[in-house]
Amino acid sequence: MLEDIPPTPEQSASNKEQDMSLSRILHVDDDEDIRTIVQLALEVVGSFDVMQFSNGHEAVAAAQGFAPQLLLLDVMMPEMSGLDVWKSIIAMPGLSHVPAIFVTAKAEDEFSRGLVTDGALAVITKPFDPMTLAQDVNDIWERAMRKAG
Amino acid sequence: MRDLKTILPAIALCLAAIAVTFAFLNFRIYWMTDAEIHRHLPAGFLTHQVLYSVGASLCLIAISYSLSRIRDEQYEDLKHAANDRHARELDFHQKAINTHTIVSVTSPDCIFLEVNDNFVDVFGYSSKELIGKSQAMLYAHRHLDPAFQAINETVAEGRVWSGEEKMRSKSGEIVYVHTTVIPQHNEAGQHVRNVTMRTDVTAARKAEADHFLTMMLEELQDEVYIYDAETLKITYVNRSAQARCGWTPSEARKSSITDTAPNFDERMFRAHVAPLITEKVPVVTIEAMHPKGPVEIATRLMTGLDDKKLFVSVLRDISWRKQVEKAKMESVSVVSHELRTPLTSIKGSLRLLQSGVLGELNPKVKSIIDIASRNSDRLLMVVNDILDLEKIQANKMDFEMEPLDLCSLVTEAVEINQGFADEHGVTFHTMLPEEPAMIRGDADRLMQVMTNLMSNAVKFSPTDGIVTLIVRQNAGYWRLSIRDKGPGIPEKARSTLFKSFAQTTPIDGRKREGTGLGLVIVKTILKFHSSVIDFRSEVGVGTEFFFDVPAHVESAAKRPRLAMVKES
Repeated sequence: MLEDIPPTPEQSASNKEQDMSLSRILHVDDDEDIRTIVQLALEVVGSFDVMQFSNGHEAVAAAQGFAPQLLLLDVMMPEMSGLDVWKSIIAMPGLSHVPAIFVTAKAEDEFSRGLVTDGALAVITKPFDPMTLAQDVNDIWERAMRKAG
Repeated sequence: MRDLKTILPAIALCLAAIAVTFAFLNFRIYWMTDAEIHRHLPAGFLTHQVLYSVGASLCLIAISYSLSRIRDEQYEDLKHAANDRHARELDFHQKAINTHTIVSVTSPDCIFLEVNDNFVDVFGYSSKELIGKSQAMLYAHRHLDPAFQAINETVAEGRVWSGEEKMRSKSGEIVYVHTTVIPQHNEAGQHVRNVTMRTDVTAARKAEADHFLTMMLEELQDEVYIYDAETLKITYVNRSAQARCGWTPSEARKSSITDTAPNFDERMFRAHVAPLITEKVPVVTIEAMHPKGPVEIATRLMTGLDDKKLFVSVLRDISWRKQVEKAKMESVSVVSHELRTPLTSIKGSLRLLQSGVLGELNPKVKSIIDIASRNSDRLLMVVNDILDLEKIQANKMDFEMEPLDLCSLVTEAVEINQGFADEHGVTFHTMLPEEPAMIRGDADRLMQVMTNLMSNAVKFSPTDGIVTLIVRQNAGYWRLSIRDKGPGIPEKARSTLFKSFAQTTPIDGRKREGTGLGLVIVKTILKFHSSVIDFRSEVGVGTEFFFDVPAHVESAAKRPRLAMVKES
């Protein structure tokens, strides 16, 4: 039986770096066309591992198996809103730390501010540029990680 | 002669007495025998008797004449006295009529022949200005006025017209009169003239109107407060206001406007209403939260009958309006979502195709993709502008006012818009003061203003053109000017430049992309910065848009007297 060997400082730094770098993103949007654009933007233009769902229930059911580092959630969806999906996922064991970026077509500043107040990392407004989406998401992620220390 | 007339009856009476004596004697003689006659009467007596009879007859005639004269004289005297009295009475009546009534005499076709002093006083025209003119000049609709036509029709039928009329004086003021028009006919039955008598009832009508207004005020659901502009003591509150404050009318008159709310801040209130006095603005409005719901309070400055300055505040329940605004914003939000989501797919697809990450495109396909991309950008611009305008109008646009350096903002705006300028082959030049141009504003919204003005300047500049941005001091303000050397704004387009969807084809005939809402948004955003956008333009030379933003007070002391400008 192998004993748990504490990681060396180099290994710790490497693990931390791995945690810091974003790779797995869970994306939920009820619009199929948007899902296609986002998949191309994050997988082809960026190089992220993206799992997509058309509704919150499926996303919540698959969340633990995928263990996402970041949620990219459409705000207005039937049945479960993006905020509800996030709340359900962070209520699961081991996923309480997963941050969320919301995507919305709503133009009101007040609405976006409310989401950030609720703990969202950022709110991206539709229409977004698919050529810069991956970079924007990564920048937001890194900024949040640096802030979290 | 008059004395003679009075003596004549006395003489006549004497003659009559003599005549009666002779008549008596004759009577005696008549019954005498011849012997008695010869015995008592001298010879020739009978001859004398005849003469005496003639004399007596003459006397009787004289008496009759005198009596008739006396009667005539008395009749004449009485007649003269009656005429004098009648004339005096007529004169008195005429004076009474002239004092009270507006009298005019007109021809059958309503041409003024005579007017009295009252007429001149009430209508303000001199009699010279009226005589010979048609009475129609005093009616709002002249010859077509219904009252004027009704009078003409009635008097033409020989009937008297009576009723109320609305007329106009020389100064244009409305005069309400109660009128009676009497047609006058000659012996042949011809209609020769009209005599019109009017009574000025304007004051009575106004009093009625005032009474009606007071009644209306009392019945209004809005609360009305009228109070002294200096002391703030209440002079009138309507029933709704009394009900809210729990006052009786007499209690209300003893109260001050400061008593209307427990936390009434008089200092803030006076600052709020100050523009009514200092800037002569017609009305100041404020929204407040009432225990029963949101209210809007509109206050005006008015002058009372005794020249006292009064504030009139009307407090209106705006719960319903707020609900409508909320519903409107919700519908705008839905439209926003419904338009932006498909636009995300369209723009995203085109962007991915244009980028080449999905494979190289042949030039023909690429040119078509470019057209689709440009037009989807345009559609998004329209959606965004409409949403911005809706947000501003619904007071939903947030303005985070903070001290800003206008120069830094200009530098940033140049960086942001550089790509757009490059596409059009246009260069930005800036002329900025060396020290910060501190203002108070919302950086994002001012950036929106600058981007809008700069993109307009770029679009209208010729290729290789220069757009110059200048920041300079202007009497307590910082002025930003954006100059281009474009075709200039045609004269006919200038008045509608800041109206929604106002787009005109410029002199050079080249149409530029735009929503027609940009300058409306610019104007509205600047209004929130106590600033006004203006422009100078010369066809064939160029256009300069500029606005002044109040200098931020804290920076005022640090600012040098004169700002130097540098070109970068």
